[in-house]
Amino acid sequence: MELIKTIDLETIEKVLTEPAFKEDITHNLLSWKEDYSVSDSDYKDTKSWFEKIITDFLTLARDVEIDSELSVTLFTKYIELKCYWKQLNTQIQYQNFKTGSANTVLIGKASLTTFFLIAIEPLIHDTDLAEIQEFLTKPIKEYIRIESSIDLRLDSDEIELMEAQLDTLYADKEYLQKHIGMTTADEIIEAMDNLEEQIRDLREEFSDSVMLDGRLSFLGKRKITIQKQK
Amino acid sequence: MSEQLIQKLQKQAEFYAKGEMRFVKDDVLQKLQLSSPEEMDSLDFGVICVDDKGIIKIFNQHEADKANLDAKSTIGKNFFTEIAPCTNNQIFYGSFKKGVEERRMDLIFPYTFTYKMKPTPVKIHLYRGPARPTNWIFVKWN
Repeated sequence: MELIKTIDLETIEKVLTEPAFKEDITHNLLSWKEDYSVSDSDYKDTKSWFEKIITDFLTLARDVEIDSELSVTLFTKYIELKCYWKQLNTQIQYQNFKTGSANTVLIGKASLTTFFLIAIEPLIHDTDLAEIQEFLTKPIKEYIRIESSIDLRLDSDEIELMEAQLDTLYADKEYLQKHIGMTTADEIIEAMDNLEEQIRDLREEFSDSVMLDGRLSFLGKRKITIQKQK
Repeated sequence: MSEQLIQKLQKQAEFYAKGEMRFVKDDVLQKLQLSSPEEMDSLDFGVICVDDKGIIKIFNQHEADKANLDAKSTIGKNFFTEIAPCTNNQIFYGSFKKGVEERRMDLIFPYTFTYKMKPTPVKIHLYRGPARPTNWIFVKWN
């Protein structure tokens, strides 16, 4: 598949001078003038500005003799104008946002610029157009991609953290099983309560006892029962 | 863009959202989630529903007609990079992104479409209700 369409001068001249293209431009200019109450001088200047873009490009195309060079020239012109439109678009939206309206000349120029793009787009390969679009939306695409990867990384970190916590919990459980023969919180609390009760009993039991000559003697009224081991 | 400027933009858009620029009635907003495709198509403003990454889920007929697009062909595409590259800036995409992060947005701002059409001033309303993770882009074509 050829990467860049081979275009001849005749084709370029045809698309940029054909009546339909001129009609579209005229219609666009008049709508803009009416909708935005554009002054006669601004209208005239903007019309001249756009016509100069077309004539300058046609002059450039006529100077270039080799078709393949023409294709590259067309390709670069498309990029140049699309970038220019992108800048105008950003400026217009910020003016809009700050003041509620934007410079009408910039608005007119932005729209006209895209009409040039519409005219020459069919002369450029779809794959190239997609690549240009990809390139021009790169900042936002990168933004989306980075955000996605951050999301994924956070998810991954969270999973890793949870797995580590789970490992620790299982290790603790094994340790408890090995040393006290129980693993659940209920069992452990019950055992602790039981031990506390035994300690209280023992304290009560020995509350009336004294140590004499290394021997334990009971002075109270407690009865001692000795049970023989079987 | 600095955080300060983002906040300034957001405050401005929140201010617009409370004023005369609001063009989607509250009862329409409430019912939107349950509306049928036919009901959405009959609305007199553009309705685009996108996920948090900007992938289009719903694109109503009004918007398709105004933007000269085939509504069905937009489904599954990224609104900000594939369908409306003119929205690729901090005012539009930046506000959307912040709204998604904060899980709510109710922002309105003026916008001008110039890409492959005669210059057209519109109003944009970015909306995300508190209860559902659905992002709406409403476009009022003048």
